[in-house]
Amino acid sequence: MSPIMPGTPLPLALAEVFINFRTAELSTIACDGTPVTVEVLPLWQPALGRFLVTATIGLPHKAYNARRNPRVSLLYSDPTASGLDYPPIVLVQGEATVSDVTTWDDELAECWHAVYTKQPNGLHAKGRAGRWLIDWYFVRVKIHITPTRIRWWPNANQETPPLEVAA
Amino acid sequence: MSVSSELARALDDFPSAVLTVIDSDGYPVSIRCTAAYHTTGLVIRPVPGWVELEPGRACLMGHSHNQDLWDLCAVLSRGSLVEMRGTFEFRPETFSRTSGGSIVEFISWFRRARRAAKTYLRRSGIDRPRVPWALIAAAKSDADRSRSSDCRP
Repeated sequence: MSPIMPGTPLPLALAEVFINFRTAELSTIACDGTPVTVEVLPLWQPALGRFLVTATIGLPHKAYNARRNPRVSLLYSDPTASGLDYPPIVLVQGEATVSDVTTWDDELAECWHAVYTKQPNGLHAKGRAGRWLIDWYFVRVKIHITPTRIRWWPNANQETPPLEVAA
Repeated sequence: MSVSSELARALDDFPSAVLTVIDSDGYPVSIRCTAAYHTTGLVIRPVPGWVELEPGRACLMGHSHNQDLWDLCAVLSRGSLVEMRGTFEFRPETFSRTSGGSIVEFISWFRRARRAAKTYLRRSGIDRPRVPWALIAAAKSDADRSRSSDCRP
């Protein structure tokens, strides 16, 4: 499938979901072919036409999986704390690329800001001992997801046929 | 307690579950569903026509959080999907609590994560990188400030 190019117009309802949802369900494919789904806090990068998810190297399986098989998906289906009334469910399928280990750059700065904005009690460390114990959490790999297909359900009812963003 | 009944009990804590399978193009596809305990697995409902479910590898998860993206709770089960007389049943093979749980589960999770991080660095052939604590603390302070200014009348 071809990537959905940056600048492809998206319905406003989808943009609101990508900006305001706290979590999405990221699915990767394990080495035995089993899909594995975990909740993540993705960052939408509309100017680049992609999504960014980060993984701590302490919980690296989604990165290992995405490196081995770049086909992944993000389901936006839990509107808790989004402030949106009756938002749609959105399914983004795409191709992932996984970065090397990093602890800081412009993208991670944006991610940490998003994390601490949406999760006020988000993990942080004070003091030498705390930092020694938890430093692994802040050592990250970046998973960039370029969408190849976006389907959505305006009434959040996945029993009905989806609408689709034209590539 | 069987894996099926343990999973069914854990999923009772969530309003719905997320079932993920692989579609004909090789991409994961997820649906919101309910999963009801049956002697051999969990019956998945509804099964929308558009998803074209096929028997095969699958996972079933549930997760929740509060308004502050805290009180995180998540469970994950890997297994397979089988078709039985027109309905689909998820047959779990593993069950794990990926967030939430008891303090013992948290300590075990924490130790595993530290070990996994060391393994990741060793396999990548890199030294333990320095974490820019001051920048991370500034990101948190900045987020705290922008949140409190958003709350002002």
